[in-house]
Amino acid sequence: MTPSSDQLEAFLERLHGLDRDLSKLKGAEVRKAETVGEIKTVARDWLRFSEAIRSIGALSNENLSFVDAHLKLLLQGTTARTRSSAYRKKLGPVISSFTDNIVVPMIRFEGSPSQVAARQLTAEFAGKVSAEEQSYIEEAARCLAGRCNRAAIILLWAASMARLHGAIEKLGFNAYNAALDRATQKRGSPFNKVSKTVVASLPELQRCRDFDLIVVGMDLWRYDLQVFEELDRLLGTRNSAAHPGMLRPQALDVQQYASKVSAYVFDVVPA
Amino acid sequence: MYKNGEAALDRILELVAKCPKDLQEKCFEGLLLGYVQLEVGGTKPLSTAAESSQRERPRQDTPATESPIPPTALLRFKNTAKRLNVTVEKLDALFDFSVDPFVVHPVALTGKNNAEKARQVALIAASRSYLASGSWSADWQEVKALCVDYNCYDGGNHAVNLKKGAGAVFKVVEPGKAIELSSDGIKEAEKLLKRLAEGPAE
Repeated sequence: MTPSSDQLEAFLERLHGLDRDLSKLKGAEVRKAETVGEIKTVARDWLRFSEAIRSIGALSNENLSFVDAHLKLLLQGTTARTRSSAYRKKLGPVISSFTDNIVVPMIRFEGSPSQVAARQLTAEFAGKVSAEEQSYIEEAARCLAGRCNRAAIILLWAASMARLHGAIEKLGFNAYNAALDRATQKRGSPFNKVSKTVVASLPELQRCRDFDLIVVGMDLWRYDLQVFEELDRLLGTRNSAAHPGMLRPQALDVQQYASKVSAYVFDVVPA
Repeated sequence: MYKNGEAALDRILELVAKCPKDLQEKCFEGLLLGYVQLEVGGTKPLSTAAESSQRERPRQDTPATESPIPPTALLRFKNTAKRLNVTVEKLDALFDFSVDPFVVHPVALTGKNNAEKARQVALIAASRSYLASGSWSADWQEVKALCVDYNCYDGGNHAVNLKKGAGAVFKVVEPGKAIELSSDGIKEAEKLLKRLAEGPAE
C-alpha cells in the first residue's frame, strides 16, 4: 500500500531516532541486537514504501533510487561487524534530503486537485455501498485521479448497475418478472420501449438492457417518472462516454455525475 | 431594443429561403430566437444584416472561450460574485482554469504567523471546494500541500495550528479528514475571497 505523506514524515522521525542512537555509540561497532534490528526494519520498510511509491509515479525515480541505494547499503552493513560511524555516513545524506526529495513531493501529489477530486468522489459514497460496489467506486476514483474522466463515468454507472442487480436478486426474480409484466402493460413512453425479457437467473439479468431495469425500477422501488428521467440521462451520459464522440467530460462533470448517481441510485434503491 | 430589426429580419428570411422547404419553419424560428436573445441579452444591436452574419459566426465557433469557468461551476461563481459585490471576472481571476479541476492562483496571505496563515489556507481551499462542488469543506491533504507552497507548513504543529480554528471558523478538525467550515467560517472565507478578488487597496 502506498504510504501517505504522514507515514513518510513518521518514517523520517524513525531515521532521526536511529541516527541519535548511533551517535551515542561515538563511532564504535554496533553490537546491540535492538539497534541492528531497527536498522534492518527501517531499511526493509523503506524498500516496501519505495516500491509502492514507484507504482503510482508520484515521485522522481532518481530521488527514490538515491534513498534505495543508501538504505540497501545500511541493510548490507547488518550482515557484517559495522561501526556506527559507517552506518551514520550512509544515513546522513538520506536524512538531509528526505524532506525536500520525498516528503514534500508526496504532500504535493496528495494535495493535487485531481487527487482531491478522487477523494471527494469516494467520500460521496461513504457508508452507502457494498464491498462489490465499492470496488467500482474506487476504480472510478483512480480513473478520475488519472484524468480518465470517461472511464470514471462508465465505472460509476457500473456501480449503479451492481446496486440494481443486487437489489433485484434480493427481491427475487419472480418479483422482477411480475414488475416487468406490469410495466409492459402500461402504455406510452418509456413503458412501450421496454423489451419483455423474462429473467430466471443472474446471468439472464446481466443480459438485460440497463434501460429496462430503470423502467421496471419504478415499480420495484417506487421511484417516480422524474427519478427515472434523471436515471435515463445518467445512462445517456454513460453511453456517450463509452462511445467515440466529442464528449469531453471534465473532473467537475464526473463529480457532478457521482453526486447524481449517489442521490438517484444509492439513496433510492435499497442495498 | 430591436434596432435594425427590419434589416435583421430581411437577412433571416434570406437565409431561410436557402433551406429545404420542410425545414424552413424550424430554421426561421431558430434564427429569430437567436436574434431576440442577442437583443434581450444586452449584446450590441446588429447594425446591418451583413454584419450580423459576420458577428454570429465567431460567437458560434467559440462559445466556450467566453468564460474560462467550467459550466458546472459557472452559476456558483456568478452567485458568489454577486453576493460579494465583485465582478465575476475579478473572482475567476483568482483561479487557474487551465488545470482540471481548477486550482487557486498564488495569493498573498496576511496572517501574522504559520498558524494564522494555515487557517487562511484552509479557508481558501474550502472556497475552491465550494465553487467547484458546492461544499464548504477543505480537503486535509490539499490544505497541507497549499501550506507547503505558502511556506506555512509546520510539520509537527500543522494539526495543532488548524485545531486552533475548531469551533470558531471550522466545525471539527481531525487530522486526515476534510475540514468543514462553520457558518462563521463561511463568512470569513467569503470576506477573504472578496479581499483577494478586489486586490490590494490603492
